[in-house]
Amino acid sequence: MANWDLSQDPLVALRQGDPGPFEDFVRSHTRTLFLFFRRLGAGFHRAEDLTQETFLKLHAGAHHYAPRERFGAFCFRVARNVWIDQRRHQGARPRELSFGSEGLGEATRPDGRVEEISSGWGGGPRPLRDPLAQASLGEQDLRLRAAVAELGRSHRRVFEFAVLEELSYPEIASILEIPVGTVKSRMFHAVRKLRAILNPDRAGTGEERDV
Amino acid sequence: MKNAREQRLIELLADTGGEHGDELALLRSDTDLKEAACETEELLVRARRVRAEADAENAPNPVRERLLVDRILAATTREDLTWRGEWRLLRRFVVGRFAHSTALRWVAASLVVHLLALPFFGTEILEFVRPLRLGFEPAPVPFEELEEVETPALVAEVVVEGLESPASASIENALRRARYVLSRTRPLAVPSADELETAPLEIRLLAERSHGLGGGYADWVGKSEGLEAVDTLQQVLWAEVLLDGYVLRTEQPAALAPLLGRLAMGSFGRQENGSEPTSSLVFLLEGALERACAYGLWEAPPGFDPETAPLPFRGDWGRALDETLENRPEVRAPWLDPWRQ
Repeated sequence: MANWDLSQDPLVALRQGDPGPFEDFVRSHTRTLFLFFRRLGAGFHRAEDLTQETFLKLHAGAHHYAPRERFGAFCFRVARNVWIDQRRHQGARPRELSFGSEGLGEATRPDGRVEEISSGWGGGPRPLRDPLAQASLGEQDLRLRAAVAELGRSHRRVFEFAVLEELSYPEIASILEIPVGTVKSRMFHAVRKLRAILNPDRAGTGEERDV
Repeated sequence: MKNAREQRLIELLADTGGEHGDELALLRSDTDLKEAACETEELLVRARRVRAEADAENAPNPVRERLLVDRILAATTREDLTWRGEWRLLRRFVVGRFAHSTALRWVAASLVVHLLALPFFGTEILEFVRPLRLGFEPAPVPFEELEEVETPALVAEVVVEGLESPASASIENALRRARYVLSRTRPLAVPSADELETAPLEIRLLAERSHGLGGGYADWVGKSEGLEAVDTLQQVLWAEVLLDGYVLRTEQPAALAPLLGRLAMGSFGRQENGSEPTSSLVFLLEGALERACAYGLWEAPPGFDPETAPLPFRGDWGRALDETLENRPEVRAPWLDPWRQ
């Protein structure tokens, strides 16, 4: 049962002949989606294309759209599918690694399945500001990135959606098509493991397992 | 139990949009969760800071972002629905397909190459198959549709309205069939006038037939080559030339009647060198006479059916000509091949 305001749903409004909410949504979320694709590992121009394609898909599907979740979550689900489609289209082409060197983005496995390996943490070389501060921050960032990279794929995705995209548990459940309870469990184990990695002297509770 | 409370704590800390003040404070005050709460908060703060830094570096500049928004809106809610918009949409689709598919790019490139090469190879093939001839050839007309062909003047005099006799109908039909065949017969690329000047008479006569098919009969006035015809084959060929002229011009050449007379009188019974005429020569001679008979230019012998009159340039005529000329290589010009086949 939907417990949000359907009148604010851009596609519902669009279907009723009012393009205003959709245009507002485009203006407010273009940057969000663009950064989402950048965090997944897309280059600048590809991220633009993917952002546009996501909105085109939303617009084209307005006539068949049935609101079952918050529009933001639906939009992210479409964006995620656009990303997966794009990776499939690329096939065996070299991966685009514009977002750091830890193997961001997704990889096409030998069996043809697309595997998400996004860690979404930061970009490539950063401009140097205060060298000391930069060094300190850089070390912390690297430790955090390394810790996230150690998470299992399913845990990492939940953590990224919750922390990077700031999505609610129900929205994450909707995007990943898993129960909310599973989201809670995965987030719990992901945070525990990260804490254990980042604070090894207080470790002992980080029994992460894939759920 | 502790895990459940910690799970709830993490959920509340991760939920940036919710109002969970009381519950969060209660969980934080739990001595078992105090340490976990601090570490989790620190982790989340650090993670969000890293994300914010990354976003700041990766975000498009405002101008670029506005252009992207405009592009998206132009492709969605503000899409141009005129033909220009349709064309842009089609172009975008095609470009997108080409960008995604290497195979499609290869196919398109191959198609372009083939299309560019087609005129060249087409010309080459046509030249190989037959000499290229510019101009319009008469469309092949089914035999049943020949009623529309103009009736020759001579036939018009014979066929009196309402009193059409079977014989005049046969003549008319024979002329139509002959005209149909001649209209579809391709003129040959005959030698030049200089070459013809020294060529044997048979060659000159055959060239004249070809010249007539190419439209030469329109200004054909009855050349005198035939007057030199002395042997039977030459006279037969001369008769064929005149018969073609009659069919195409509907005027009886003055030289035709005496020539037919000579042929019919049996002067061909023996060749000039005294040898027996070959069966192929006899075939050619009878063919010419039968044509004349079918066109009403010569009195048909009893029992002769003009409907079965030989058509000009039929295959057996060419073969008979070939056999007749077997021992005369100077007359067996290669340009006659299309007629012999």
